[in-house]
Amino acid sequence: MRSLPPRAALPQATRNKLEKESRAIADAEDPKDEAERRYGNARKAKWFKPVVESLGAMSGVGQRCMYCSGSEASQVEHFRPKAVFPLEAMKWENFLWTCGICNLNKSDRFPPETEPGEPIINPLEEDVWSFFFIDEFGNLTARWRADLNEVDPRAAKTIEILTLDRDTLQETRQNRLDDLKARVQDSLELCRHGNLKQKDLRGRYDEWRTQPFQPDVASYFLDGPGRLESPFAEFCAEAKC
Amino acid sequence: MYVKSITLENLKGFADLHFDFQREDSSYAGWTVFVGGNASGKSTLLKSIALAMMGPDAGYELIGRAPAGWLARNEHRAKAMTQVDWDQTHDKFKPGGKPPGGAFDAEVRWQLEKGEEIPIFRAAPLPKNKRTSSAQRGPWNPNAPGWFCAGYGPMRRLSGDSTQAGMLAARGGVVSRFVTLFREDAALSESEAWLKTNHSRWLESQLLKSPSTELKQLIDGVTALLSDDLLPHGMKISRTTVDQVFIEDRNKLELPMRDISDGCRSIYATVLDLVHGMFEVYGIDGLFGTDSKGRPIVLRPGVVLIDEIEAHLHPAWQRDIPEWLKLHFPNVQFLVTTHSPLVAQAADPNGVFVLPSQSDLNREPRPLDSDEFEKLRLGKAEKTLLGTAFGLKSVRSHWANQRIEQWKRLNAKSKAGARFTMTETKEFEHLRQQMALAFEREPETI
Repeated sequence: MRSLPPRAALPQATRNKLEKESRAIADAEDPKDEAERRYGNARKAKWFKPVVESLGAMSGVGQRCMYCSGSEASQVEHFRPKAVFPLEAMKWENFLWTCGICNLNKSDRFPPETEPGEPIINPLEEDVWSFFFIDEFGNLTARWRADLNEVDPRAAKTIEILTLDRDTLQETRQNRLDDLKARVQDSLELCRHGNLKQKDLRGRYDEWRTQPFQPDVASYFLDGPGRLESPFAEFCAEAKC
Repeated sequence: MYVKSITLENLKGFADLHFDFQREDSSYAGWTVFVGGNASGKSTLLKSIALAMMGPDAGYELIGRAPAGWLARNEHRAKAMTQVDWDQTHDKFKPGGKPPGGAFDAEVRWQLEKGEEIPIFRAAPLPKNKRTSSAQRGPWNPNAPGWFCAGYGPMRRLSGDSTQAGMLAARGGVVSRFVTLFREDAALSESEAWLKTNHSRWLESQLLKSPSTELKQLIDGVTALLSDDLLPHGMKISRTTVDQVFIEDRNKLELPMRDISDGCRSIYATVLDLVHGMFEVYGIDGLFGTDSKGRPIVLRPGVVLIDEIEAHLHPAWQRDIPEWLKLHFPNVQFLVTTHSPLVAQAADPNGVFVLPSQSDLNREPRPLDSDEFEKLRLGKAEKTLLGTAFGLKSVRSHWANQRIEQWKRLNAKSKAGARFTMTETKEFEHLRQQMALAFEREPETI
């Protein structure tokens, strides 16, 4: 999971069409069936394209999954499952752009409506890094809640449902972190010897931030609270970013 | 013969399954695997393919005329249909109609009649204008030449079958070639007996001063094949006597085949049985040959089903055996089930099919797409376990994952500036050392 830009605006025509579809679902005898059918048709229809394009643009270069950041996203995910909330099956505010693994893992799970537990975190609506941090081994970790004397239950539930602790994700996060650290240290070294200027550091920084490879790591250590950790803190001070 | 596709309907846990086995270049031979958790229906799938290939008459000897437990709950009819492709040179039809222009259907059903509790196992009804089907004149006909197919269950023993299973195995013909797939109490003892008998007949023919070239070809062919790096540690067949087949290893230590390890016997028994079956069907003429590197191979086509090929095998051997079988039976279509990533990695294109566990309603049985397949066959076993075919979330032990969880918890607490108890401080230090090992990077090569 990573920090994402705010939800983009959809073209008015697409908004209208989505609203029309939503009304049809609400008016249907069996809204669940109708939602399934209408969404299935829409996914194949031309008018739905701006939805997919906007979601893609919001997920950035490489279109990494909004949940795991590991795989390329290819599926429109209903944050509130359409089987449970059919009236939201065609709601722009309910759409995320995710990979097949996360989508399948989540399926129709949505606590507390569908199972006991705290609600999971929507990366487009909440401050992701106030719930999670990434440790030195690339583990996405739920933050400690002093008031509960326990890890954040919503963050823990999100990791559990989406399996954000799967081995492959930890490994790629660790790879990206090691790689990023090496680049940062290398750049700092070059800077100390006068081979790189502040402007060059800035250029590198911008380049790293837009690389598609496990972007949650860059989001945390370059744009998020991880900036305060070594060697990122030294680098940001030097690059004035 | 080859299996072009399988379709199952209402059969045990399969409401509706369809797999196409033809490869991109229209061929079938090579390695095709079925993966999936325990109780995902892998064995059912193999048995269904077997029953459709051998037909109702042979099938009923293995499962009975009125088999219970095959029909899905609340259904009246189950079916297993294979499309059978065939080879004009080796597979022949009995008279009664024109040979089909290409692949044809071979379908068996479990039909529940009104008022009955157990379904009847039988062939799918013929269209009104037909007296026989291609299946009845071909693969299902015990007298039609060709149509080699065989199936092996996970217990592939050399000896120790029950009387009834032994009778089925000794019967010869298609039933004996599938008996271990259907009956745990069956052994593959017939084939060793067959080898020893032929050895005796060869000796006899020499005594009678009319040495049989056929028998000589057969014994030489089998010996060469079984000695061509099939068994580990350079083990080869050293000699066959009237009572025993002897194996000799690199250090010239000689043992009767019955005394070597379980894994070796299981593989030896399977390969010997395959050759035996093919000899029964095709005869000796043109059975054996050599490949471009001069290695002994078996030339004839057919379908071979193996349930859990990796049983008893060390991982190194799990990796080698599929390659050995593909190399030595280049025209055979192997359809195997496995829990081993090393066995799955040997699959040929369009050769990996995933069966979801039956509680997992979100997933359908499906082939891996070409992207997933390339990842599987180019990747490491560990990655394969974590990939879509096996779907493990982690390849660490539960204990190790609990340690990692505890590390994350204490690390979060420490990061938040919360106070540790004395025990926690100590544990945190210990965990840090453990995590350094758990997440140790492979040293980079310079």
